[in-house]
This record gives sequence, structure tokens and C-alpha cells, in this order.
Amino acid sequence: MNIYISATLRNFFERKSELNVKKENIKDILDEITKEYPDSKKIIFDENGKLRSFIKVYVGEEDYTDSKNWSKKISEEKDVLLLPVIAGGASEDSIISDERRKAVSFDDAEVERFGNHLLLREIGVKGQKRIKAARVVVAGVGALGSSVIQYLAAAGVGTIKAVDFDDVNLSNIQTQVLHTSRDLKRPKVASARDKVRNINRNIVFEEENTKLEAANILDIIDGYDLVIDCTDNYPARYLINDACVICGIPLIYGAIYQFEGQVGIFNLNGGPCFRCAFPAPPPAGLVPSCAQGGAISPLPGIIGSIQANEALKLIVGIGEHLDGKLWVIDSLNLRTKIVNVLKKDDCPLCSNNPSITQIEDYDYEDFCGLREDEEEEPIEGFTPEELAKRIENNDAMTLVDVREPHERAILRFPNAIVIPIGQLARRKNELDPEIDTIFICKEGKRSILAINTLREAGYTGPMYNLKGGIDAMKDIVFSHEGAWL
Amino acid sequence: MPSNRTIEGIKMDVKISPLAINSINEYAKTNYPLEVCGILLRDEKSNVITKAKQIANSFDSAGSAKHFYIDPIALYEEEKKAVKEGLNIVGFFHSHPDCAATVSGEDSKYMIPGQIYLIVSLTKKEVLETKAYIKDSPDDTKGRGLSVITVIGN
Repeated sequence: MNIYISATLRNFFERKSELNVKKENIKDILDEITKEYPDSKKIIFDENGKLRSFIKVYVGEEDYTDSKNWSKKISEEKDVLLLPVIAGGASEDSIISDERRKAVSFDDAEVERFGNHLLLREIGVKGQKRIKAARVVVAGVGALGSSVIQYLAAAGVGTIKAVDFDDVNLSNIQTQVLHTSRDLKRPKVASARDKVRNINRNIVFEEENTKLEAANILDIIDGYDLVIDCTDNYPARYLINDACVICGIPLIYGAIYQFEGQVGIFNLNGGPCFRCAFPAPPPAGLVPSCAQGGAISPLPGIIGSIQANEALKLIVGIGEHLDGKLWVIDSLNLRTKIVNVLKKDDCPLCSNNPSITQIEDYDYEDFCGLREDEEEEPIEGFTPEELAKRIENNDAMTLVDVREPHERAILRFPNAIVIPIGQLARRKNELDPEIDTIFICKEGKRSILAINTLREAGYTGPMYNLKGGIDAMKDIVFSHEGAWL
Repeated sequence: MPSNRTIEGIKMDVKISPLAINSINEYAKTNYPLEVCGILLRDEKSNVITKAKQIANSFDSAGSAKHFYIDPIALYEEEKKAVKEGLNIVGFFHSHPDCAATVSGEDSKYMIPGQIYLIVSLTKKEVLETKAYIKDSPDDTKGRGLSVITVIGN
């Protein structure tokens, strides 16, 4: 049997143009020639043993590339041809159609305003029209949302919808640079509206002063081109991802924690979704949100700027994206890396056989372990008032502070012994099972984790949680007992 | 024409005659906004690409602005003709109408390691730039490990 090797593949066959193999079907022929010319094996087959997308096998003029044909006996008279597919395409399409781009025009002021974009060959007038035609939802007007919204507005994104239920408080301003001291107690979306207006009055700014929930999210995002996740908690991230998959909208995810951040693009052209990357959330309380774990001021600026940059690239249709990738930065040590995210064949959401097909009845709080499990023994707790009373009465009890050292440095809980969560199981003998033990953390979530950890470790003494954590206790204690905190 | 420069320390030039470059540019301009494609041929005795031959874009019978596809059998015929003319196929060219001359995801998927891929970026008015790429291993993913190669005009 004569095997013709395309000129383009001969480098892997010692420059031979023709091989002769005594085999009767394609499978045996391919096995034989890749054995004889080991260089060719990696070129012809991928790591899973599948024929690479650029390889075609012909018998005469007949296409035998499909492996279903590989065991057929082939006629000795015909040549087997090993040929490449020469194919490709212009860069990825923009997520904004040509029709919508063509419907946009600019006035002289806009030409001047966006001059720096128009100068870029990759953006130019056509790209800037796409930016103006784009309709983008920003979920969360906090730290990440601050830079995302300002850059999208500055870049000229035509319609920006901002969603957030929260008001501005003093602790926001260190990282959420959109809001100023003047905005305290105002809805975050209101200060975002003012900021966007000051940047460019032509931008259509839509504000949703509401919490994203399974019941309202589809109405909020449907019909938009892109959703940018700037939230700070897992239930919201899964909710947003699921809704984006259901509505077929690409998602730009961003997250920050202390000095680290990550950005990724999900659900672009059927690519992997957030659930492919993170099939399950970490145990509740283990990864604190920004409000609990802290973040250095410029970090959300870095991460949010990358999110906005990715958004503009998707809108214009240029460059390489973080599609199916996560860009991870450690700003403390200046390390960055890009990790690949593969689409999961068994993803409950974006695979061919999804188990999640609608979200209205999905309990995101429960999925993220934030609802008390009925099967588990319920965890009892004290309100700050109840605990204050017990302290006043000098009731016998052990107070255990499970917070990290830097959190205790801000606010110390008097007379509490300190055991970090990671050491609890090992140090359970330090607790007296004859008296009540009360666990204290910042917001009353990690203390639940602590109690569950000790239960699993076999500790049987009575355990209680301080409801709402030390945050809820602050006001009580100061008014009640003076300065003992 | 771009000057002779190396990127990432990989010294590898694609030497191409002005005649060949002109013919690619003319093909691309005449067929704008459709994408054109073809083969790059080098004389067996020299290291200069002297001929660029257009092959029908068979992605779609009506032509395509975003994709190209060379029928494998058509390529097979071209390979046989090239041998008779004493030429070697060393790579391929295609145009990116209204898009930068960078390797797209789809381009990368079909790139044969070791072959030269020349991409011409153009608008309705003019050819903007011509760049060349090579893939060193089939496992180079999109945009990685691709050496940008200088195109010399002479």
C-alpha cells in the first residue's frame, strides 16, 4: 500500500514523500507509520489519541478521516493520502453585530472625545461604534464595580446597567473609589449614576437598586451583550453564572481577596462556565469576603481594570481573551499566572446534559452552605444581649476567639482564649466539656464552622455561637459595660 | 515593508520576493471584503519565497469574509505541480479583512507545526500590515509559542 505524505507533513517522516506499508486498513497503517516515524505521532494524534484537527486521510479521492472508516479493508490499487487541512479565520467576531455597529454614528465632540481609541488600528471608528452600541450589565457597584463602571463609561460604552442593593458606608471608601465621603448612606447605584453622568451625559445609565436573586436576575440581564461579575460572594457568583448560561450571555468574572485577585471569561461561544472552573464553593466561612478578609486599596482597581479591558476587547472583537482561562495575580509578591479552565463534560449547567435548566427554584444560599442543614444538629447561639448578660452574671463559660491575629489586633475580645480554626481539633482538650463554650468570630459564620469542626472531632461539651459575631457585639458592649472591649 | 527584526530572540526570517508580496496584496485587495488564501512556494535552491499562489477559498462557495479553507485534494494537486516546477511549499497565506494580522483561535487550531503562516491585514483602502507566524509544536495553544517572523522586502 502506497501512502502519500503531504509536503507539509514530511518533516515528521524524515522528508519522505511516499511510504510503503503492508497493511490493509487505515488504523493499521496509521499505527505502523507512527511507530516507524515516532516524530510523526505527536503531529498526527493529540494526547488523547485522536486525529488532530488539521489532519485528513484520503483513499484516492475519498475522505476516510472519520475513524468509523478506519477498519474498512482498502483496495491495493488506491493510494492513501495523508493531507493537512489548511484553514483558519479572521480574528474572533465581536459580540456586537455589524448591523448594530452600522446603526451608530458619531458627532464631532465624540470624535474628539474618543480620539485615543480612534487612533488605535485595532479599534478605530468601527470598534468605537461597537463600543457605543454595546449594552453591559455590571453586577455589584463595590470595589471591582468602581473601576469597571468608570472605565466602561470613559471608553464610551453606550448602555451601562449597574445592579447593587447596598448603600455606601464609610468602610467602603477605601477600596470603592467610585464613592466619596459625600455619598455616605446613599445607594451605591446613585453615586454610580452621578459619576457616569459627570463622565459622559450621552451614556444611557440604568440603575437597579435591588439584590440579584433567582427570581429577578433573568429579567435584569436578558437582552444585554455582556455581564461583568463584580460581586463579593459565592451565591451571587453562581447565580450570575447560571443566569448568563441560560440567557446565552458571556460573563467576565473578577474576584479579589486581600492581596490576590483573579479574572476570567466564562460562557463565551459555548466555552466553559464558572461551574466548570469552580464546581462547588468553598465551605461557608472559610473564604471571607472582602468585607471580612480585607483588601489592599489598588487591588480592585487592577482587577476591575482588567475586567473592563477584557470587556472592551470582546466588544470590539480583538486580541486574545481570558476565554477559558483564569488570570491570577498576587499583588504582594508581584506574581501573575494564567491557568486554563477546561469545559467539564459533566458540568451540571453548560454540558450537553445539564441538570440545572432553570434557576427559579435553585437555592443558592443552600448550595453555598449558608443555610443551616436540617439534617445536621442545629447550632445554638446567643445574641449579643444574651451573651452580655451572661458575662455580667459571671456565668461559668469559656469564650473562644477563632479570628486571625490581624483581626484581633483591630478589636480584642477580653477574657477570650484564642484558638485559630485550623488548630481547634488538635487543641480540643483545652476546653472544659463541663461548662458552656462560646465561639466568637467577626460575623458569626466562622464560629459555626468552628463548632462543626469540633463536633466532627468528637468534642461533646455544650457549644454556642455568638450570633452576628463581634461586629454585632460592638455597640452593645460599649453602651452596656463601658470600655471593656 | 517591516524592517528585519527578531522577536523573543528567535532568529528566523521569512524571505519573500516583492513579486510574491505584491501578488498576495493584490489578491487580497481585489477580493476584499472576502478572505483569500493560498500557498507560499520557495525555489528548491534558494531560501526566498518567490511565488505566492492563490487557491480557491472553499469554505463557502460564495466566499467568506471570516474564514478560509483549502480543499486537501486541491492542495495535493498543487503539491504535485510544485514538484514539477522545482518549488517547495513552505507555508500558506491568508487575509484578515478589517482585522489585525494576528493568529486567531481558529487559525491556531489548524496550524501545522513548522509551516509558515503569513497573514495580511487590510481595509477597503489599503493593506495595513503583513505578519508571519510559525508554530513549533502542535501543543502550542492559541497565541503561545508562536514565533513572529520578519518579512523582508527586497
